[in-house]
Amino acid sequence: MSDSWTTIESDPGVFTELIESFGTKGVQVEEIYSLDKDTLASVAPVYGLIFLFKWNQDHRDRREVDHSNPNVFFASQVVNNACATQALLSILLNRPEVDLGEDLNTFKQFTKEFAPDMKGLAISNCESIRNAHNSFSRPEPFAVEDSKSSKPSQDVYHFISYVPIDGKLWELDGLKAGPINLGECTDENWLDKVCPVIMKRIEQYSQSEIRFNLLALIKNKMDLYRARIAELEAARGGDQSAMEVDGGGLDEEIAELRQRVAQEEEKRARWRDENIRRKHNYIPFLFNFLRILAEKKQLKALIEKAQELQSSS
Amino acid sequence: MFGLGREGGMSSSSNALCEYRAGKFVLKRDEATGKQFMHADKRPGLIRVKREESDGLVHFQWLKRGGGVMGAPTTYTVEDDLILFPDEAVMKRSAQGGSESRVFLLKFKQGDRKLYFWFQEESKDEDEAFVKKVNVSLNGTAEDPTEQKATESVAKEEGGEGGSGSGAGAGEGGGEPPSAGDKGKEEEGGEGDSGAVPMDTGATGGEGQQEAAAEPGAAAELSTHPLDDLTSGVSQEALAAALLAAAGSVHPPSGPSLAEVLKPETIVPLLRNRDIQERLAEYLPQEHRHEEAILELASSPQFQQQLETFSEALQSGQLNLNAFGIPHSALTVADFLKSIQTMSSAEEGKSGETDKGGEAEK
Repeated sequence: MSDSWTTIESDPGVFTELIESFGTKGVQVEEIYSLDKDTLASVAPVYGLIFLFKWNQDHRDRREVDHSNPNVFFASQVVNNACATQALLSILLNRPEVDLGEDLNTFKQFTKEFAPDMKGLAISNCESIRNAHNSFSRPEPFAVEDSKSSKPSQDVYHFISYVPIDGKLWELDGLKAGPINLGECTDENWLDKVCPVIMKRIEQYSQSEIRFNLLALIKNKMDLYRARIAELEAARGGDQSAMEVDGGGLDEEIAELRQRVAQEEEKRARWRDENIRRKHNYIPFLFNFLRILAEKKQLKALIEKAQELQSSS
Repeated sequence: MFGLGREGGMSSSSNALCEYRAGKFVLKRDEATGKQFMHADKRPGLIRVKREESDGLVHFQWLKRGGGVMGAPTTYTVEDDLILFPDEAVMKRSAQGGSESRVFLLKFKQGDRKLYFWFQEESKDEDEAFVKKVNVSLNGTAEDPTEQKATESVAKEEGGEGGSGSGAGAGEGGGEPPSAGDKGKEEEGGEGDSGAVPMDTGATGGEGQQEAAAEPGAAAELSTHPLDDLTSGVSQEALAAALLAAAGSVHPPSGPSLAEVLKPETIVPLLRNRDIQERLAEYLPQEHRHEEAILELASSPQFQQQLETFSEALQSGQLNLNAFGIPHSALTVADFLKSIQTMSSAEEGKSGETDKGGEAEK
């Protein structure tokens, strides 16, 4: 069992904590609800996009893969359920400006010369990556007799990444034979180029699908806001009298930024709480809660409610 | 709501039960006071309630109107997409603005979640009628369903086809058409072009769907399309989704789930009790051993989800509760609660003190 990878929820809070537990710093994940310029600008700079969709085995892709650039980190997906982590790594390991942290740096160096399938195997064998991933497994709160049929399967989802590398836009899908080259781009215009590609994908699947989910791997917002506040304060600090004349704009911007920092902090706190709850097994809590209620003679009301619901259904 | 497909995301194609122009409100925080307040999002928008063909479920959506997405001819973009089950939520006029107000809210029965909207149709004459339609579409009745009886969801009115999603990127070359009814590949988790199979949920996927096919309700509806006969042009994917949805609606034969019995409004008052809080503290994550977190837990999706999973296992008889002194068989939630009651009184008889109770097996 120790070799298995669990499914994890496609949620920005989960992905952000997952990245942080790899030891990587200065990045976070946000969900993108709309592919328009304003939305994307609001999360800039974007390191890469992760597109989640319901996997469709009917889908035949005849696009050529392109192995010409050895700098592209591409790993075949050889493990069940690893695709969330794989999609994140596909972006992180392809953006040199990201502070990967020791574990991922070592991993990147170690696998540099590997073929895609070996890279995939290396991911599956990397204990620190797997442990980080698996720390998000839903708790198996009880012993289930027949684990095969324990869960009516949800739909099958797959994650792929879009990332600009060395002046080209790449689609990295661990179930493909290699990276797919989507053409020239710059760091400035790659989002403009990727939007139509994603739109087309959505369009293709739209007849039978409803669920798409787009996540952006971006620079840590709190760092960004704080750096900007420091910058503005420095600009203002020098000359107090000048500030009274035209410093109003600065103050406003600083206040606005502070507000955003507060919102980010609140969101992070919420993510933390949700992740704590995701990982905790509440069944002992449940049992003991019910037993205490029984002891306090308050369980009867719940039993009656259950019976009532049962007879009305 | 389902675990993986969360609210948000994008969708296309219109199959609406009803639609109305409306803007939404977003939650903002006032820096000075630290308080949160509702802020009207000025963008033009649309509320759409639709039954999604691919999953057979009712979706409540808010779409941004106009503006086109990245040059595509689309004029509607789904920003919020919620799957709502009957009796999960009800739409009504916000009390704050009085009877003339055009601010309406979608109120969830669980927790205190509310979504606010302001109507943008030129005339407000149809406001009431639209709200009725929404409630009928969601709950099968225009009434506020304060009682939870199993209401039948409204019959599928087939709305207009086409609409929003069509066109974007369709003209671009090199694309593969959505291959509906492509023959000769199904059943086992599938084979990608690299030959590897790994992906989320893994290999049990196919089986689950097969089992779903055996459900009576599903069989009735789809009896003319045996699974391996795909010549009818139904895509495997859509078929599987339909089976799954059908199975879902037939499945709970054994009464309510624990999540339905232990609703936040039921357990929050019980959890306010100091003694209960103190005795339960050790079963909570360390960070959450205080009243606020305990009360929040009751309505958190993570807790509700564990209750659902536990109920499923309980009701299907997959759960071995011998460790808890509960006989091993398929149990309804009522039976389960009764066993705990019995166990508790038996213990009381033995000694005045309750022991710690069994930890669940790992």
